[in-house]
Order: sequence, then structure tokens, then C-alpha cells
Amino acid sequence: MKHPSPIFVRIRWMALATGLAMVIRSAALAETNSLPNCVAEVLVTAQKFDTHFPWKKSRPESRAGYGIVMADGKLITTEDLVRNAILIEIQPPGRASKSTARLIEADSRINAALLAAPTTGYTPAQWGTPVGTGAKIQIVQFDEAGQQQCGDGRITGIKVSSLPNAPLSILTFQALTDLKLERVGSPAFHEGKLAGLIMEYDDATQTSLVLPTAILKRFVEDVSSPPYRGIAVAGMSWAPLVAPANRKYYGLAEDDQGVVVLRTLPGSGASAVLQSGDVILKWDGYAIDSQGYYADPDFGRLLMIHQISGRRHPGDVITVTRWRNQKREEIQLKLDAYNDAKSLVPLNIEGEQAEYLVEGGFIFRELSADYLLSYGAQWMVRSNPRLVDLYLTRAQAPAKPGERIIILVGVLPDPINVGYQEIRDELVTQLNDKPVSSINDVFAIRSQDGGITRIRLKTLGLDLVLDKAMLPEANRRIAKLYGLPKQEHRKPLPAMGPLRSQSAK
Amino acid sequence: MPFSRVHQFLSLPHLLAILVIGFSLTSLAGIDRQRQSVVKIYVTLQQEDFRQPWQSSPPISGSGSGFIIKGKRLMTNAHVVSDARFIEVQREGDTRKFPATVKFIAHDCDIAILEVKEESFFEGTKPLEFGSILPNLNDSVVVLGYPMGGGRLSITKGVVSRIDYNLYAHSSIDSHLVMQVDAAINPGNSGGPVLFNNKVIGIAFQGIAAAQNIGYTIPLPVIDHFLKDIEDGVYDGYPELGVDHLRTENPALRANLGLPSGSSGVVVAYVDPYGAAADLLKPRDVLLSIDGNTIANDGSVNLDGNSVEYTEFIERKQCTENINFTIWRDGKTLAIVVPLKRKPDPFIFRQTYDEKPDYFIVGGLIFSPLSRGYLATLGTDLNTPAAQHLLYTARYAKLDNLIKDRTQFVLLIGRLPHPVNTYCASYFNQILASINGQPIRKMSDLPEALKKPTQGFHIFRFEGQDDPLIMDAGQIVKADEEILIQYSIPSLSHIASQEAK
Repeated sequence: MKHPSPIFVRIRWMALATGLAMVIRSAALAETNSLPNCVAEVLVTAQKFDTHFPWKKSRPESRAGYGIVMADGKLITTEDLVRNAILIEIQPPGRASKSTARLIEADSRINAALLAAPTTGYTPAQWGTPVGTGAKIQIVQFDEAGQQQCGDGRITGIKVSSLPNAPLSILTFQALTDLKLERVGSPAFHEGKLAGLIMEYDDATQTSLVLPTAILKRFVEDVSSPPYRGIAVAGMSWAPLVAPANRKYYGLAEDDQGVVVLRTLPGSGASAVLQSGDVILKWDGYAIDSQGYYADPDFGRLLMIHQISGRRHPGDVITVTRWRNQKREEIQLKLDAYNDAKSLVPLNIEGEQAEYLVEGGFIFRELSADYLLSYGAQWMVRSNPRLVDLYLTRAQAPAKPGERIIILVGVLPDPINVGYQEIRDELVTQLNDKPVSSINDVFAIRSQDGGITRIRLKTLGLDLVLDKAMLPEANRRIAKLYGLPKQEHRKPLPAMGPLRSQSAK
Repeated sequence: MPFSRVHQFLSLPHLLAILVIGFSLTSLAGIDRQRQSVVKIYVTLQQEDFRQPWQSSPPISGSGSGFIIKGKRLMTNAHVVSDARFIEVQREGDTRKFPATVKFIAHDCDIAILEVKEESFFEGTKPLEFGSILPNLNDSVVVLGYPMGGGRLSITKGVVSRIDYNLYAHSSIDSHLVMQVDAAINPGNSGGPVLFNNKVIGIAFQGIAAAQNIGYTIPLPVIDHFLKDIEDGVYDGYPELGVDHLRTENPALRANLGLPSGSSGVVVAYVDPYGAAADLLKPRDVLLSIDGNTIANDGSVNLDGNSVEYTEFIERKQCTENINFTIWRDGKTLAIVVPLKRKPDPFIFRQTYDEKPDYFIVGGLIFSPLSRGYLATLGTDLNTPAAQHLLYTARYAKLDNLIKDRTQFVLLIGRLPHPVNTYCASYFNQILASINGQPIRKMSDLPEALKKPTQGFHIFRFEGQDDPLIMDAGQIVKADEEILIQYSIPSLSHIASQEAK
């Protein structure tokens, strides 16, 4: 197999923002030459489900990205590339010899996925070691002809920040590069070894956000010893404790230490030992400053989030020094896996098909962020303000574990539901006189009662009523008329243990 | 109805529109007399600044139209003279301007009455007469006024295109009957009369920016309602029934309610605690008839051969009058009399005018109540979760029972930076829940709660925020003295009546 000529990268033209062009001589030719032949193009055909009519699928879309060949016939790529994939194929850059790949695991939390595919002809990449600010990297991409383009870059910062669309923050690098990137997902190398994957690229400043090897390697190792455990979380939110008045109020010395706990997620490890108003002085053995930073042995000053998401696993127990009622105590905190399903309003970044029930033309489902975001850029004004407010203020705060918001998406018009057909985007509180706080409640009520005939919407002082005798015939009629393959979609119960990530396919 | 695109014809130079109605056979000679009574209104106004409530906007000049009615008074739109500091009126062809004052102003239906002290203003004029019935669709009407594009009176002609309920943009929340005409109505026309057979049957008042040949006018029934309301010397406003209903077209719903076959009506789904029907009607009541007229399953009533919404009956009544319902409750037919009234409703969030917003400054933190005027200032800040929560709160305060004994939602609307509040920036647009453990239900609770610091601190807690804002109570007084001087603020607070606007 012919490797794309490295000569190509010796001299390149780079357009500057000013519109001038200048010659850049590759400063790292020797390193570029040593890059292994480890990058494959990944071609994906994907189809996602509609959020409002969850039985419908959108038109299939094609995506292309990169996969980094690792040992044992595995490739690392980004989760958003293979999201809702129907077919995944890999090919050497610029060649049309495709082979089918299989998704082993994807985690939207860190936008990483692992594929299995035939990788003969490639040289697997090697994991790099942690690199610091100022380290030189090479970023690789391929043009349409399959020619490798390699850009030089430099790591300008290391910090915990959020990836595009990711719910929680994770360790990232900022890198400045002289290569105009055509797509995200390109690999970055340091001294010929994998340093990370580009997650975000800003054309104007030519800066990239890189998910580092430190996180990717843990992901691959985790996947390699099933069950996949995922990213650890403590299950709480916190705030800096900088204001002198607040420090005095909590009875803390004026030294620079400790952050305050805001709230804990019901059922989480944090909820067992922490409460709102507790001050965290030490976290897994490291002193925490008043802004939530600690001194990481590999990367220097980092937010305490990394101690959990980048250094620990779900199920681990950490030691925390807590300040409560003017007393310093050491407590043990058990970490959980990040689990979108524990949210009152899940994000569903992966765009999984929503569980739904269509009864008498009424479309019921749980509220999720992707449902609201499907209203487009103006989603905050275009969808029901109640639903928006629940998402913005209470998404991570179910009153009890497993609580969800049931919504009436809308009504498919039929003689059985005359008078109700204009109702849409409403919050459902009761069905057949029974409170509902998850789609499973909806399914259970329907099967117990043989049908849903009374629907109570929030604030309305009476039920919407459906004729029970008409229901079976109406359901058949509606299914036929509106092309419903099934009256309901229920997810199979998870086959894996409770630690299995929701993002698992 | 794209409410957001409804705009009033009162922009900076606001002009009044006059609608003249007339058959094409009615010669303009007939209008010659009426035109003498159409006046131009010059207004200098200062709008309230809801972000810096201790001051108003710079003075703005504008103009509109108005017309002389009997009793030596002028009728115009409320929005022409709202927030006015100085008003002058001028007759066509007269170089003199006469000072005028507002006698009555009805923000909910956008009508105002002005008085002119100087008798000579009315010399040689005859008050315009009001018609007795609305024209039919396609009848020709004439609009008189002083729109943009010139200084002198303008007359445009058109036909009545539609008569329907619509939003009155001035208050932003009230809907009444609106007569749509295709005569040109432009900024400056506001407040001018619409004539039909030389008699006033409407007042030009608003339009849609993106549309063509759609001019909205306030029709006769709304004007009549206003004139009847002020007969006692006070404008009370429209009564609010305060009922949301569901149509009973679904047979299963009708069966569930036990409605006998042959009967019809709408079913009460929600009763507003501040409406006239509070404590008299309740959910599941079916409204069968109103003042003896049968209500159909879709809420319509047949009135003289026309189908109108049942709420039309309430629209025609004054506060202190009664509405008689026949209702179906618990399997029985009942007669219910609802005395109509307008209760003070602090949670209706109508746009306010001529009222200085409440505010209270402590430690350079500015607190002010949630209001439509404040929300309108948010602009790009509206796309923040805090602002979205305020929008939700304003819209669902009553429905979702967010009130919790409040009469106002008190917000942190800003900070005047000073060393005392260096670390207080992250609570912008949050709703204040308590100070020093005392719940904040209205603005006047603020000074009270600040009298009792907690161990030398003031602890401000905000709705949905777990960490409090804490200030050293000892530093506040001196800091506020400095802040008043540095930021040129006349007073640390203005807290008016807690009553509804």
C-alpha cells in the first residue's frame, strides 16, 4: 500500500487572515516522516429518528471522518461521526477499497467511539505519553485525492472544558495549528505517537480543541475489559468560594481553600455524604483552592472535575475532606457512572429513538433536550415555555430517582379526538387518574387499564376524555392513516449491569 | 396572529391617523365640516428606564392625531399621550398650538380623552358625531389624520376588510374587537377618526409592519364601552371573567361530564384567582348559556344571526354589571350570577405607562419588580436561562402557582460596581426569595428584611440558587452613600403602591 507522499508537506501555501499568502516551511519534516500509516477514512450512512413523530426516520445522511488504527483491529473515531449509523465503512485515504466496520462502543460524554474492522496494511498508532503546554504536535488530514496534509501545531493550554454538545467538562488541550482543518476528528501526533483527536476547530483563530490521549486511552482500555464502565461522576454541582463575606459566613479562614457544594443528584454517591452548603477542602487527596483547582501531577493546575472524570472510574471510592458546621471531617464518596438517564430531562445527545405511545391519536413521550433543540435556533421561544424552563432549571434535579416529564407532543386528528386536535407540547400530569412520571408509567397504565381514556394536562382542572369502546378501532385506523409501524416503542430492558453507559449501542 | 409584529403607529415622530368613512357618493364636501375637528397632537414624552429606574429616557418629540367630540374634549389613542410630559394640539390651518392635558386614559383599549383649557381652541368647530352601527364588510370608510409624509391633514379612503378580535399592542395583553380597513394608515394616523357616512365609527391605532393594506382601527363598540365607563368620572377598565375553557365537541368528554343530549356549551378548565368568576365557577362546570343565550359546543353564540364568541357578552359589559350563566354542575343545571369586576391583578403583566418603576438599591445591588417593561429591555439577554425563567414566570405565575403569597417578583436587575459588591455579579436577573431568612414577597419587604442582619451579614437567597449572596452588613451604608454620588442617583429607593396597575 502506497503511503501518501510526505514530500507534499514540505512546502505548503497557507492563506493568512489578511488575505496575503506566504510560504511555510515544514519545521518538523523528520517527525512528519515518522508518522505511522495509521489513519483510515471512515464513511458513515446514518439515519436519525424524528423527535416529534418518533416512529419516523429522517432521510439517510452520509458523513465522512477519520479513524485511527490501533492494535488488534480497532479504530478510534468520534462518537458524533458514527451516531445513528446504519452502515460504517473504512477505506485507506484516497482509495475506494471499502471494508465494513462494526461499532464496539461509543460514548457521547467524551465524543469517542471504538470500531472493529480489518486493518491489514495499516501500522497501528501508539499511545503517546502526557504532553504539556508548549509541546509540538502534528495534525494530519487528507485531501480529496487522498494526499496526506500535515500541519504543525503547538499546545497552548491544558484545561478542563466542555466539548461541543457534551454535558460535562473533560480534560482538553488547546492547540494552535498552521493547517486549515476541513473537518473535526483529525488526529494529532506528538513525536509520532497519538496525542489526541481534534474536537473543535476555529477557522478564524486556527485554534483547535483536542481530546487528549489521556482520556482516549482510558476509554479504549475501559472498552477492552467489558462491561464498559464509562466516565465517573460524583453527582453534585459546586461553586467557587471566593467572596470574603461568603468565606466568613461559612466560618472559613481567609486562606485560599475550598469550594461550596450547591446540590447533589438524588441517588448519587455525593447525595449520600454531601449536602448543599458543605465546603470541600480536599478532594481525592488533593487540596482544592477556592476556585476549584488542584495541582495535577501530570498537567499542573486543573479543575477538580478531572480528578474524577480523568483519573478515576465508576465504582471507585474517594476520600473527601468536608467542612460542615464548623467541623472538618474526612468522608468516603463512591463514584457513579455518568448516566444521562438519571436526568429529569435527558440530553439524548446520541439521538436515540424516543420511547413513545400513540393512543387515540395522542402522542406521548418523555421530554428530552434533543426534543426541545429540534425547534431550531429559536427553540427557546418556539417551544412551550414550561418545557423550556424545566430543561433550563431542573434538568439535573429530579425530585426522585427516575422521574421524567411526560409530554403530549400533539394529537393525530381522528374522529375519536375531536375537540382536542389543536393541543400540542403540553405537560401531562395524570393518565386514567394516576400520576405519571415516566414513560414506563404510561405503558403500565395502558396495559393495566386496557387503554388510556383520561388525560390530565398540567393546570387543566379536568381530564380530556376518550371513548374506550372506540379506542381499538381508532388506534388501527390512526396507525394505517398516519403510517405508524407500531403504536408504541419501548426500549428493551438493559441486558448489562447498572454501570453500563446509556450511550452504549 | 404574529403579535410580535403588531406595531403601533406611534413611533418617534408619532402621527395620528384619521379614518374618514363615506360612500363614494358622499362628496368630500360633506367631510369639509368634519375635517375642521381633526387635530394634530404634539407630544413630548419621556419613557421610563426599567434598567436604571431612577431616571427616564431623554425627552422624545412625537405627534399623532385626535378629534373633537362633544363636551369640548378631544379623543385620541392612549399610546399617543402615554408617558407625556407636555401635550399641545393644533387645528388644521391654524398656526396656534394649545396646551392640552389628559383627562381619561384607558391603556387596555388604547383610548384617551384630552382637555384644552383655552376656549378659543374650539371656536368654529363642531364636535364629531359617533355613528350608531358598525359598517358592513366592504363598506367604504374614510380615515383622517396627520400621518408622516407631510404637515397637513391627510384623508385616505378604503373599505372595511374584517371585523374580529385582535391584540391591542399598547398594553401587549388585551384583545378586543378590531376593525381592519384597507385605507392607508401610517405612523401619525394614530388617534384619528374613521368616518362612515360622516360619523365616527372607529379610531385608527395600529398596523402590521410586514403587511400591506392592513390598518387596524378601534371600532365603535369599544369606543362606546369606553365612553360609558367614564360617565362616572373614573375609568375602571374592562371586567375580566378569568375563565379558560375547553370546547365540548368530543362525545366522550360530554358523556364524562354527564351532559344531557341536546344541551351544549363549553367546559371550564381553569379559573383565574384574580378574575370575576373566582369562587363562583370551577373546573368541570359547563357553561350552557350566557344572559339567556345558548352557548354552542365550540363556544359560539348566535347573536342576531351572527355567530360570536360567548365572551363577546362580557366584552360589552361594564364593571359592576352582572353576567348570568346557566351552568351544568354535578349532574344539575344551576343559575350562576357573576358580578363583573376588575380585581387588582399584580400578575397580569400589562405594559405600564406614566408610572415610575419601583426600585431599591442596597450595597450597589439594584432590585426591581418583574414587569413587562423590564422584560422588554432585556434584548439579547433574553437568550439566557435566567431571562427565560423570567418569561416563564411572567406567563405562568398564576397557572403554575408560582406566586406563593407574593404580590411582586423582586429581581436583581443590576449592580453598580463598588468594592462592596465585587463578588456579587452572578445573580443577575434572578428572583429574590429571601433576605436574612425573611421571605421577599414585595418590594417593601426589602427594607424591612435588611433591618435584621444575620450575625453581621445580609444573606440574600435567590429562587433555584443554592448558594446565597452574602454582604457584610457593616459596610453597606457607607458604600451606598458613595454609590449615590458616584453614579448620580437621586435616591436609594422608590417603592410605590403594591396595588395592581
